[in-house]
Amino acid sequence: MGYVAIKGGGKAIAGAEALLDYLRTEQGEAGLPLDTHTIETQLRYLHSRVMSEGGLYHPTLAALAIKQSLGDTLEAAFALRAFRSTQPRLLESPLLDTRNLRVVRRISSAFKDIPGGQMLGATTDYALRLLKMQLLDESPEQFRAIAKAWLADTPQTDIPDTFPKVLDALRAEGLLPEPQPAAGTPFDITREPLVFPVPRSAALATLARGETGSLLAIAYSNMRGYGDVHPTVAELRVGYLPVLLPHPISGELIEAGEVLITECEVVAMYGKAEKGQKPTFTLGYGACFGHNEVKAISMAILDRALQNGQANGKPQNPSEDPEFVLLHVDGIDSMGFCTHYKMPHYVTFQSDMDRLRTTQQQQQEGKA
Amino acid sequence: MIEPIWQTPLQQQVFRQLLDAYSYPGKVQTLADTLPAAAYHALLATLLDGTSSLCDRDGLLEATQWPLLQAQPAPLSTARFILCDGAQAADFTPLLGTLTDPEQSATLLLAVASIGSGAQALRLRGPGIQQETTLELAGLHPSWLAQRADWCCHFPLGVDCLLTDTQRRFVAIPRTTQLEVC
Amino acid sequence: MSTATDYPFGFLDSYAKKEVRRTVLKAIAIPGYQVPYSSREMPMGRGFGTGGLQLTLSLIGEGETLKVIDQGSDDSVNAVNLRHFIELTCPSINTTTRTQEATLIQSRHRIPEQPLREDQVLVLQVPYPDPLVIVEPSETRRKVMHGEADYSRLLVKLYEDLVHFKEITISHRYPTRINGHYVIDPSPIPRYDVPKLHQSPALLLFGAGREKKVYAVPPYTLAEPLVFDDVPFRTEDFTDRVSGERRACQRCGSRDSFLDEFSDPNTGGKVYQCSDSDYCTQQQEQAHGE
Repeated sequence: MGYVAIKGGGKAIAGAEALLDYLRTEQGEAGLPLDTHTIETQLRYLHSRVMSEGGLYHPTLAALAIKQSLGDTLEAAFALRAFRSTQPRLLESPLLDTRNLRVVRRISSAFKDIPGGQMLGATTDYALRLLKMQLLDESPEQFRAIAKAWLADTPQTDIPDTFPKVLDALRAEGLLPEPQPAAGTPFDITREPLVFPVPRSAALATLARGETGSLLAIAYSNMRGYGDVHPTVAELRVGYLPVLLPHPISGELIEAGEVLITECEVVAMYGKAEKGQKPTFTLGYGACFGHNEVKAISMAILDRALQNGQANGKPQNPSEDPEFVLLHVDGIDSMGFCTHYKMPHYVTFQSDMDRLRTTQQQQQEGKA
Repeated sequence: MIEPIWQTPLQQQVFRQLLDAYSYPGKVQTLADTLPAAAYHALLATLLDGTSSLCDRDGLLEATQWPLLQAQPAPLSTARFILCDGAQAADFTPLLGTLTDPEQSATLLLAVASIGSGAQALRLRGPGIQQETTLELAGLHPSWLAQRADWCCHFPLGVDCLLTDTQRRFVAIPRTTQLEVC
Repeated sequence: MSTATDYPFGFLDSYAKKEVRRTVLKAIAIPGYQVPYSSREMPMGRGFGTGGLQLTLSLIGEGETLKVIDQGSDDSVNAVNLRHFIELTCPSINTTTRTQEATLIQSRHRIPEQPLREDQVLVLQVPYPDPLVIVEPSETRRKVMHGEADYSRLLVKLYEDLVHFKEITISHRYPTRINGHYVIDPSPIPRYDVPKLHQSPALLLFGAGREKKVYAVPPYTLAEPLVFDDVPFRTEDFTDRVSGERRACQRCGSRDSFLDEFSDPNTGGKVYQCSDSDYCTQQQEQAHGE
């Protein structure tokens, strides 16, 4: 018998990689490679999700990541994140005011009528989730006709680019506390480890690039009863946020571009007021790259829950515990660790068997 | 051409010498001869960036070096790196860290006249040292030894010291090293 | 940006390396203390050695000779993968399988059989850096316990083991006290490797990428597995209970190495081989040379 240990690792890896690439191209001659622009436009929610979880706003590379990972969101976000590690942090933007958001959708479930009006935009919220069988064999002509017809039918309107915020109205009425000026520079989770307790900016940044499903699951636990945020969506907006950066030489702020973001502000029931203060509603905030409403709402609920936990001094349930939430929502961390269990554990298992056999023997001897 | 001190392959070599110095306290390191003779220059260039805070107590650095080091200037009481002329007395208390975060303590770079030879001799014991070792040097104000003993008496709190000379030599004395004048 | 060769030497940007380097020096200065660092994402999974890899990439330089092992083997899939990545992003380094030729060794789950020297550095990959996690889930509280060197709850856990099983059931990742203060999780090395931590001539570095921690056992430092005075620390027992003899590697015949257990497909019986493949090969070479 030869040496049985896992030999030929290099060959095996190369083979597995080649097979994966074959799977990507197995349509063969009938197939066309996905071009990244198609991914960006036709798979926009997937694309949004990958940019947000990857923590890098780079539409082309995000599309590439989706293409090479065969559409696996965790893998795609992962590749984007790893690319990020090779890039130095050169400049910091000032705090960007989302009042300047070029809005493509904004709704409020708190008021029927909000300053500037509701703007439904693109959503599946009220659509019947019936399979559109006609898309099974959609021809390029039909495909192009849809966009053409939509553009032709849409009347010119003078919808403003930006809208006032619902929260400002609530603040004016004294129903919400005035915003606290941010204490110091925001915590950069890509440059500093989370050592608890962490400031709210660290929590928000961690949630902003958290895995959508993980945020949803923990937020859902709060909604169902392991918590008591009971949120109302004061405002949910999707749009393009101008990014300002200091000019490297003059230091003057210049608009470097814009990023698509989703932002959500939830209002929750009021708690006990500080002495001498009148009670007000409380606020939870969520925002992420791309168009991802479930993530933004979940994040806002978790922000609120974490603030509750901190205010009470002790978390009453998992969603209020910063260590529980913030250390378990990162998709790159959690999927990586889950995957690692597939690696060999021969040595540790050998050691486990030694302990079990010894313990069994001890018991045997004890009985005898 | 970029000056050697800023070249990343050379910084990697300097770091490996730092690693060796910390691993074996008292072991004298000599930097590559393309680097400046005052050894602290290369050590600072290797260790610091925009996220580090530095206090140059005795004005050993020139103003033009600060933007290249990128470090944030800070007072003695909060700086994570402190550069001092070792011939001058120790007259302050640096950051010692806390029980839960002992790494949030200062690293002291003390510039002395000579390392590896000189009239002063120290006996070193502790992690990284088999039994004991001796270190000869010259130009260290004796107050540093007494102060360091105070700063490092409550492990894990303490400061880590790098002694540097003007012949490209340096040596590390982390907080775990027990010092004795021989 | 299509291949790894388009990336800078050592993959990480220079600021990331500086941060890791500062962290490593603190780790050596405070033996056994888990120094937090920001931990960049690497292009392999968290849990596959990204902490060890960030250490290796921050340490490594031109002309370095690197060895990468997993489960004691240079040729296991993960070791090959990591070595391949390091070779791609650090083109001017050498790699070796021979322990004595390496200046830098990255390993998962084993410390090489061959004794390490002062001019070598061992980097171990760590999945769980904190030995207190089995008794205290909150990191904030664990940091206080570590600072105060309060390991009473861990000792109670070991004691309960003795009561229940007449044996300490920790098989690997055996809690080990460094320089009389911090107790570390020495990574999932078997108990057999724990004594190698004690007074090691080489620097031992531990990297936990997902948990964002680096810690160190400096050379010539006290490393004591946590035990009770009347219950000695015991390493894995490879004694054949029938013959009473220490089992030997069926390949090289060594009777003093950590063994992997296999089923012989022909006889159905158990056979044993060295876990450290380089050690096994060198033992065989010596035997042939004689």
